[in-house]
Formats: sequence, C-alpha cells, structure tokens
Amino acid sequence: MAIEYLLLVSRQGKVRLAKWFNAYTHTQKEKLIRDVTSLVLSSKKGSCSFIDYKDSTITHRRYASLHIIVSSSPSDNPLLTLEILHRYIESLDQYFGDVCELDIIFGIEAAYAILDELLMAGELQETEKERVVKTVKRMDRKVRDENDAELERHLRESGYI
Amino acid sequence: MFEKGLYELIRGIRANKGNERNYVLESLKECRQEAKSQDLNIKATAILKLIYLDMFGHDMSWASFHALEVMSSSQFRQKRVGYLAAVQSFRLDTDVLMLTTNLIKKDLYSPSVPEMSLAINGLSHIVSPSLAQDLAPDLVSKLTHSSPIVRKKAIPVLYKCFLQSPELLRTCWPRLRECLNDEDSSVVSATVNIVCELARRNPKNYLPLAPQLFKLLTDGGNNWMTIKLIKLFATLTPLEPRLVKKLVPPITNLIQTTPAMSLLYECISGLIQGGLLAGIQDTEEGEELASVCVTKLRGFLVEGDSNLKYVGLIALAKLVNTHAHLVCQHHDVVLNCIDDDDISIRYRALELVVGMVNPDTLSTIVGKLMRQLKPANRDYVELEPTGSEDEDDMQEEVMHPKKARGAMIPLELPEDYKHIVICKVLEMCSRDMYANVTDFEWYLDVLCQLVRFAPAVQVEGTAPEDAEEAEEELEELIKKRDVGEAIGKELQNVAIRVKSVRPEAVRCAEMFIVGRDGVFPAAGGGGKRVLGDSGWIVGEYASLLTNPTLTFDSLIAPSSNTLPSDILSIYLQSITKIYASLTSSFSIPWTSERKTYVTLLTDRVLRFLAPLTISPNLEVQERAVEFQELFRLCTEAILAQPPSNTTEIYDPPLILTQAVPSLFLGQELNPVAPRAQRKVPLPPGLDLDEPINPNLPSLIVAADYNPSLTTDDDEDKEDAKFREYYYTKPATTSIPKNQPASHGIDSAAARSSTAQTPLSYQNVAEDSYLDADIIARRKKERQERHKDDPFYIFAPGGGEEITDADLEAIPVMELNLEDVPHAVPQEVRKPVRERVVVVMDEGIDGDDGLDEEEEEKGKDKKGKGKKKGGLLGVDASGLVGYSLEGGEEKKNDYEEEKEARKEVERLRKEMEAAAEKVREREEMEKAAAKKTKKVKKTVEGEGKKKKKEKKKEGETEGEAGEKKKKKKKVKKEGEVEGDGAEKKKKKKVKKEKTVEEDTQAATTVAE
Repeated sequence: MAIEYLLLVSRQGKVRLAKWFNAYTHTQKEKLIRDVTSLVLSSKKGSCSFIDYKDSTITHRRYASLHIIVSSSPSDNPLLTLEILHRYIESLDQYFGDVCELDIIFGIEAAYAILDELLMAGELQETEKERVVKTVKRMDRKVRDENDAELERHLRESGYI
Repeated sequence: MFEKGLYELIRGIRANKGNERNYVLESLKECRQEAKSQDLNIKATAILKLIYLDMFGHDMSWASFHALEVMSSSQFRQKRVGYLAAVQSFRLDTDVLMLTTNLIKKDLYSPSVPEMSLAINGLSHIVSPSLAQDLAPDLVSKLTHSSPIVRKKAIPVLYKCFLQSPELLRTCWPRLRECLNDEDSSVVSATVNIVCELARRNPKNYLPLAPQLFKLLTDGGNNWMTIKLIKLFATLTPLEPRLVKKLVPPITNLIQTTPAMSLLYECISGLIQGGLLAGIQDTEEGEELASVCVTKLRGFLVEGDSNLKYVGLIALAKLVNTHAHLVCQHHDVVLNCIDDDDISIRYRALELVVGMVNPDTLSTIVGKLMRQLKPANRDYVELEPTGSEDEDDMQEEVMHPKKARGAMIPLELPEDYKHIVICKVLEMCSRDMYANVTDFEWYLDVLCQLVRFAPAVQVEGTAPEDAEEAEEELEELIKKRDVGEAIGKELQNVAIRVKSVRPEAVRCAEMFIVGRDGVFPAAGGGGKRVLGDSGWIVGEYASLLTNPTLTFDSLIAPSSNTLPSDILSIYLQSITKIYASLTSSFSIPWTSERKTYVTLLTDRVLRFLAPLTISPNLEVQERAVEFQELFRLCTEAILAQPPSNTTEIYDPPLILTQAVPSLFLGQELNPVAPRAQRKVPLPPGLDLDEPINPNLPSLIVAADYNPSLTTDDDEDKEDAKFREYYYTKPATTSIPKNQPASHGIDSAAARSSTAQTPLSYQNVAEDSYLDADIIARRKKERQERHKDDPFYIFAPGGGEEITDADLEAIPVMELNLEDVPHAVPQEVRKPVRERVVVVMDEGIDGDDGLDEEEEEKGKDKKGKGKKKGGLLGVDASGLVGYSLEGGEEKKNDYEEEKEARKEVERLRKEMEAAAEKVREREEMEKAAAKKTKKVKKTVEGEGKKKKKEKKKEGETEGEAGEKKKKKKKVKKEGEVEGDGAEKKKKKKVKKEKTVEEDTQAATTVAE
C-alpha cells in the first residue's frame, strides 16, 4: 500500500486539505490529524522529513506557511514519497500560478481534483504535471460551460434575452 | 433568503475571529436545511460546504444520502461535488453504498472522459466487495478504452477490486497483463505499480513476467517506473535465483550512473532486500558491488542532507546483517549520526549500531549512548518558524518562501527514546552470550548507571473504573515498560553466569537494595523494577554481601511493604536466605549476647511478616505465612537453647545451623535453557499418581520416635543413573578462562586509546557518562590493584584530591614534537583479549532446548503478523498465496495428501495399540474411581472413548508442523471410515479450518 493519507496543514495546525486513501472512521481521522500534526509542527529546523508514527512513516515538508504531510508504509522508498509530495505542490503551483495557502483554501475543489489526477488508490498515476494540470483545466472548462449554459437559461427564462 | 456559497462561508469564518465555533454551528444548521432543498444547485453547494467543514472535524456522514443525490446529477459540476463528498465521507458501512452500483455503472459508460474519470476515481475510494464484483467487468472493458487517461485509471481501481474480492484476480489477470504492452508509458507504469503490489503478496504468480519486466528495466523508462520495477524484482529474486545474475549488471550500471538519489537508494535497497548481495556474497564481484553500495551509502551520510542520512541509515541497517565487516569500516560516520539533533535519525542510527558492535567498539558506542542520557547534556536546536495567521502569511508563495527564523529550544529527548536507548545498550552487550563484553566490571558499572538514567514509566490514561483492578493492570503495565526489569535481568544474568565478577554484581545489587530511597525517588524516575532481581541476588549470594546486616535491615524495613507484590515475594525469600547466612554460623559461640542478637533478629523478621500474612496478593501471603511458621519454630528453639557460660558449652540450636540453611544451600544454581525442562527424561517407573509412600503418616509417626531413621539403603543401577542426571554437575560449555575479568580494565583502557577508534580518548572517557561516585570507586579499585606497581604514580592522599586541585596552576611545558627527530616508535601492541568465562545455558545433550515445533510456531506467527489492512478496512491477506492458475495447487495437494494419509494411518495404528493397552488395564483394575484418571495420564487421551479421541487429535495436530493440509485429509479419512468418533473429529476439524485459513477456503470455493 503506497500512500495512506495526505494532509495539507497550515503552520498553526489548521487542516487545509485532507485526503484519505484508506477508510478511517471519523474518530480515527481526528486522532490521526491531531497526533500527526503535532508531531510535524514540533519538528526542528533542518531535521529530516521522516518521522515514525506507529506502523507507518510520516513524510512531511514545509512550503512557506504550509506543511504537507504524507503517511506511507515503512517499506516504501521514503525519498520517492518525498518526490511525490513535491510533485503535488509543483502541480498546484502550475495550476494556480505561484500558489499560496489562500489559493488552496478557496480553490479546495481544484486542489482535490489535482490530487486525484496525480494519485490514485495511493499510487502515483501520472508523473507529468503538465498532463495533470491539463486534465483538471479541461474539467474546469466543462464546469464553466455548464455555468454559462445555466446562466443563459436563467436569463432566457426571465426574459432578458 | 440568499444562500451563501463556499467562498462566503470561508470569508465568514475568517471574519468571525474568536467566535468561529458559533458561526460554524450556525452554518451547519443552514447546510442541513439546504441539503434537503429540491434545487440541486443549492444541495450541491451545501454538500461542498459540508466537505469543507468536515475537514475541521464536523462529521458529514449524516449527509451521505444527499451526497448520493448530488452524485446522480446530470450536471458535471454537481456530479463532481457529489463524488468528492462520497470519496471523503463514505465508508464500507455507509448504507447508501449499495445504491451507488447502478449510478457508477452508468457514469462508467458516459461519453465524456471527465465524467468517466470521476466515476473511476470515486470507485477507487469506495469499492466494497459487492461493488467490486458488479463493476469489475466494466472496468476490464475500460482497459482497452481509446483514451490513455481512462486506461491508466482503470488499472489501480482493478487492484482495489482484487483486494476486496480476490477471485476477480483470476478472471481479470489476462487482460490486465496485456497492459504491460500498452503504447502509453503512463499506462505501463500504472500496470507495473500494481503488479508490484500484487507480487508482494504472492510473487510466484508473476515470475513468468520476468523477461518482459526485465526489458522494461533495461529500456530505461522514467525513474518512477524504474524504482517500482526494482522493487518488483526484489520480491521475485528470492524465488528465482537465476534472476540475480541477470539483474546485477543493469542495477550496477544504474547505481553508478543515476543522478537521482531516490533511484540510487532503491537500487541499493533492492539489492539488499532481494537477497542479490547475499546471493553473490562469496564471489569477488559480489564483494565489489557490496563495497560500492556501502561507499555510496557513506556518501548519503556525509552529504549533510538529513533525509539522505535517514535513508542511508535504513539501508545500512539492512545491509549490516550480511556484510557487517563492510559496514563497520564506516562506523565513524555512523557514530556521528547517533548524536544527531534529529530524533528520527537517532532512532535509525541506534538500530544500525546494534548490528555493528564488536568487542572493540562496544565501549565506545555504549559510552556515546550513555552520554546522551546524562541530563546535563543539552543541545539547542532551532524549531521550524511559526508565523501568525494573517493574510500576509497565507499569501506567502509556497514555492518561494520568505526567510524566517524559528525559536531556539533545548533538545528534549523523548522518554520513549531513552527507553529504547537503554534497551539497545542491554541488547548490544548481552548479544551472543556477552560475546562483545570483555570487561564485566565495566558492564556492571554501566548497568548501575543505567538504572539511574532509567526514564519514568509513562502510563497512558487508564480508565479508573475499578480502582483495584486498575491498580493491578497498572502494575502489569509498569512491569512491561520499566527498563529496570530488563536491567535487573542483566544484573542477575551476570551474577549467575560470570563467576569472576559475582562479588561485584552482588555489591551492585546490595547498593540498590540498601540505597533504595536514594536511588529511586518516591515519585517519578523509573528503574525501580531492578529491585526484584537485586533482591534475588542478595539473597542467593548472601555469603558474598559486604554488609549483610545493613542489607537485611533494608529488606525488612517497613517501607518494603509498599513494593509491588511480585518484588515483595522475592524479598520474603531473600530475607530468609540472609537470615540463614547471618545465624547459621557454627563458629560463633552461643553466648548470651549471641542469643539475644539472634532472638532480636528473628523477632524483627516476625514483625515484618505479620502484616504480610493478610496481604491481598496470594503469593506474598502464602510465603509470609510459611516463613512465619518457620521463624516461630526458630524462636522456640532459640529460647529453648540455653547460652554457653563458663562451665558449660552449648551449641547454637540445630534449626539455625542445619534446618534453615538446608532449605537454601545445596548445589549452585546454573542457568538452564528455557525449554530444557521439557526434555528431562521421565524416570522409568515413575507414576505421578502413585502416592510416594502409602503409609506416610505412620512413617512420620515412627520418625518422631526414631531419629536415626535413614533412608539411603539400596541403590540399584537405574537409581544411579537417575542420580547422575539430577545430582552430578555437567561440565560447563564455556571457554576456559585465562585471567579474571577484573584484569580487563587496563586492556579496555588501552584499547580505547589505540588508533582503531577514530574518536579521541576524551570522547569516550568514562567520566562522560558514568556518575562521579562510580568513577571514584573504579579509580580506587585501580589504585588498589597497582599499589605495588612502580610505574604508577599516585597522589599522596588518594585520587580525589587531584580533581580538586587547580589544574590551570600546573605549569605546562610546551612539547615540540618536531625537535625530536625520531622518537622511539612506541610499540603499540594490540592487547590480547581475555576471555571471561560466561556460563552458557544448560540443556540436554548440548541442545539449547529450542523445539522445532516452537520455532515453527514462531514462524507462523510472523507470517500472520504481516497482514496489512487494505481499503475500507478489508485486509489484503486474501491475495496472499492466491494463485492465478487453479491447477498448480492441485498437484501440490496430491503430494501432501499422500503424506497426510500415511500420517493418519500411523496415528490410527497407534491409537488402536493404545486402546488395546487400555482394555487390558481396565480388566486388571476394577477400582472404578481411580480408573478414569489413570487412563488419561498414562495413555494421554489415546483411549477409545470418543471424547478422548478428540483430545488426542488436538494434540497430534499441535505436534505436526503443517497443520492445514493434514486436517483436510483427516477429514477425508473420516469419511472413508464412517466411524462415529471420526465424524465428531471431522466437525471440529472443519471448524478450525474455517478459522485458520480463509485463503485456503477461498481457493477451494473458487475451484
């Protein structure tokens, strides 16, 4: 099993995104978030990105005000996990353009969509971030088209056009 | 009313600083209303808001039906929200899950690729066994879809389906396999990913793919896939050793050329994990490759990047099992990692050094570790910066962060880490029966020091429902967690096994017992459990105590009552032992002073025992009552024996000089292998149910009248044999000693200064980790030893004064080494290591008593422990040993069946023979009351009665290693015989079968 869950957490410990590849109960999720976040936030500067937590390895990295946290099995290649989470941030950066925490807060749906394109069932499914962004943009276009159509319908119904 | 969207919700939360909770609750209420709305737009917005709030801990599982409604919308934007909600909140027990089947099926055939990928992706999260079975065929059809995006997505989902219902693997595999030839590289990569996962469960099935995979490896795709391929091969090579030769060249090539650290690491790790290095270990090529790997890993450690350090240590730790000599060459860098600021790195380094220790490095490594435990050693580290939560901060671009400094805090070692350090120190020293320890006095000092460093036992909140029960549980928990227990066991081990330092070990134990209140503060501080074994040592070796009276006083101090009950019961035993050694002396004349002294002593023991006779702990109570009786007898005897005076000489009472000591004296206790007892042969003619002497009461009565009654009259041959076994001491298996261990100190000191250790002498100086008093004692001992050695210069008043002197004031002459052209090269002699006698476990016929059966069980357990949880709480063990082809297994089955048949045949014969015996016996003995018992004992349930037959079955099953298959066969045998008893057995077998081997069951069903 590759990746068990992925969290984006602010420096203050607020969850910005939580993706679960295993089925956890609500209480399990809360406990994991609490434990793992406090572990990660108390990490020292310059310390390595890996922390052992129970039976899994937590890989984390700080990007400005955001911590990205990934849990995987200890048998996995830790450096690879690190590259996967970097790839995700890169994809976000490419999609939003100089992404910052606020972009992710308000663009949560897109952030999930990008993650879904990148990872599937906890495995990396697409290594090209351009292709990831392209696919998500195509979905956005579809949404926009639908919105436009809806607006047009409303206007038509109301007799404006 | 105008509904707010997600954007307004977030803005609102941020605007209501300090009052967020109320605002969120208000919004949740609105969402509840909106989710019921007829308008799908409003419903979708509500669901989206709920997803957002779910992240902050507001469970949204109640809205699963509404999420389902949104999922079924015809609009993509709403469908996307619906699927997101499902992915985030559905679980296997979500009841609407069964309603999703048709919906997902419909979406899977949607003409639009984005919609299709939504469905596929959603399915990957929520797939349940029934969904897997219903939708797998549709997913398989997607493997040939025109869009590569769909193809590559269908593959991981299929894997998820296999996890849910393993039999799908057999039907889907042929189509899946073709994807390895796909023209799109990401599809191939996805296939490799899941083959890698599947192969981890059952590598055998994927061996035929080896040529194809090998081609992929040499073609050199992207690094991501190469990593997975290497991982995959690492699982295949153990099954197919011929692959090793083929794989070594390309992997060596990768190691030497790749710039990607992750790939480099994977190659090395794959070489180790796949047993490639071990496979070619003896060849020159293998040695060379291993040394290349180790050199690269050294590079990881010295690079300065903590992540590389971490993985480097992991890889080295795996390698050290097979190539310890190579890893040891780099122990300088590894030792630096032990003191790293980063706890994660320390843990890894700790794991590694345990494998690296040898007699030369042990004291350095242990010294370093112990220095960490010393509270005075504080390093400061910088924390990651924490910013304030303002807009500015959140707009910081994640890829281009600003510079910020974190707070400096002292590096606080977690208690758990200290605990592990102590355990590892003990493990390193005691490994292979103390093969690495050359100086046991040093080891004893280390043990004493470790007790002082022992971290407090942390007990996570236990429910205080039943106070008494909770207390007991707490005690159990502390027993498990406290390192004192482990340290005590070591102390005991040394005291028993290493005779040359036994007096020192006893002294340590004595120190703990006497200085209990000083060493172990009442609150906090762990290590208290060391008192148990210390108590045992001072009792068993009471004659070696330096101050038995003081020890005795500490043992019977009223505060001992508060000790944990298991330690207390050890104390009780020790008290009597020391009492025996204090009072048993023949040579001390039985004067009136002596009489008073002994009376007093006995009286004090009795006073100590009195409250314990009503102890709630049975063990303590029993011992206290027994000893109380004994001491009462002593008191009577003492009072009855008049003291010697000038005219008449009286001996001390016999009960003190003979009876009490004889309870404890006898042969020395030697270490015995844990399972040796089981192998002790039953003396012939021993019937455990036979009373030893049928007319015992009359004998006792007779003995009262006839004190000269002796028992040793006739000794036949068998008896002699028996005697020899039980009473003659076997030769110890240890290496003969040349010199006592106490002489080891100099060699150890000399060793630590030789060039072998890269660290300076100061670095490992004992004073850096041993406490002052321990060092002072060592120093004094050393001086004592070298008293007459003219090469030693002593300070006139003993060692302590020197430390007080003003070191600055001592004039120092500058030494210019260049002026001395050719200083006489000092002969650095490698000190000859002395062997200290370590008594090995005693077993029978040189056997360590480890049963194969036991080992087998251990293996079984290991295998079971490996189970991993899969998606939606279903574990992936279904795929373990799951064969793709049904045929293979049948062949194996046939072989095993034949064997099992034979086995059953043999057992039946045995049973018949046994039944025969029983019948004979029954005829002979008509005493009905005793009969059942006897039959049971002598034939061990081999009787013909159904009940017992059942029992016997259980036993034989336990004995046989390969459980599963045999039972199956037994079942068949039962059918053939059609015997009533057999049928009963069959039932049981069936039950066990279902419990134990679901995998097997799954296969049989599929067949």
